[in-house]
Amino acid sequence: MADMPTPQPVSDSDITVLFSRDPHGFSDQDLANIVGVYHQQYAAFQARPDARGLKPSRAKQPAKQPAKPALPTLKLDLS
Amino acid sequence: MSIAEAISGRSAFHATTGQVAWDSSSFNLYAACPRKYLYSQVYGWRPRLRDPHLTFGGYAASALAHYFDRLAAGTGRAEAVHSMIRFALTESANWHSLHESKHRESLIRTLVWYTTHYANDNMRVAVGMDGQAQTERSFAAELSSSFVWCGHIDQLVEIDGQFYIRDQKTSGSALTSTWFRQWDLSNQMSGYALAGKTFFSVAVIGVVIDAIQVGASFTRFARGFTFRSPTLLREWVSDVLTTLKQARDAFLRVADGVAEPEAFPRNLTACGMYGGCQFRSVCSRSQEVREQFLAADFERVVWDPLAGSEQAAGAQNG
Repeated sequence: MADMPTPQPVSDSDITVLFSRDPHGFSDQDLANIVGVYHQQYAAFQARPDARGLKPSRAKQPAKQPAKPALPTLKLDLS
Repeated sequence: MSIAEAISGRSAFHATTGQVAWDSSSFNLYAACPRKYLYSQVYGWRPRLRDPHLTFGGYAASALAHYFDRLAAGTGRAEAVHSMIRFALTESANWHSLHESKHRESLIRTLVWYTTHYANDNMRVAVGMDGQAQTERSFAAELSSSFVWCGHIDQLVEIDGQFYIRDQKTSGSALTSTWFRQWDLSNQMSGYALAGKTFFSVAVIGVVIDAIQVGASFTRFARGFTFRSPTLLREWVSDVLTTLKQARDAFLRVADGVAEPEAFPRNLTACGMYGGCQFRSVCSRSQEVREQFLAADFERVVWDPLAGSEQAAGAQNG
């Protein structure tokens, strides 16, 4: 198929209507619109910090500092 | 209906020794609970309401096979995606899922996102000498002179001249290293490794798992590998044969007149596994009324590992 239709802007409600349609009634333009919408959603999701599975709060956390000793250090006076 | 009647005419079963052609689904059933195996695999009882996870995975696998077949036939990627989406919409037309994340729209989203995510993948589906993409291939590998292991491979793929079996797994869970490690002891993956050693004419290195986490508003992807050394594979075959001989003994005992419930006992420690066995509501009733509960909440669909297909029980026996 050399001439693939260019996706047209569609709203969420348009997509819902498309999904409720008899699948044999989908035009090439309908398919292009569906694929176009999900391409956009994919790009938007990949831009999110949690796209790879990290939670946002975890992703933004600074590097952990070395833990301080739980007990005070005993200083010996050897003089 | 008796066991003999239930297995009559089914190619995976012998009249007295029972099931001879096994796959990971039927094996896991017996290994978990002989009674669950009896209900599900032998008699073919399935819940009337289809599991949305299995339905989603089935539609996704067949749609992706369609996509890779088109690519192998020389179709451009964009056109192959459109063809796959049309195929998936048609196949799933009568699927009305109430699940929060596994439904028709998330199926289409997942398919578009998957093909976008791996648009520049250097892992390619292998093409056979006949020009056919190596997708959706059924296999049967001999375990012993008595038993055959069957399976269904999503794809045979090639990267840098090396071959792997690729399996797409959809999940609702986060794709952590722990999630991937579960496949190192999976009977299904060991079966694939066995097929990789015996079924294909090329050396198969291991199994690639393309994991797909399906959320309510997103889909994530991650790729992992699992391997079986010859030693591990031999041990797995030995373990499997031990269990299969126990199953064969159960069938033989029934043929000798032992009651079915005695030959295929309940394993009550498995009732809560994997979110809970679907037969809990049956097994918790008295034996004399279980058949009525089965007939009310389940329907009979028999699965033949050799044929690789489901059939309504009436059609199978008719």
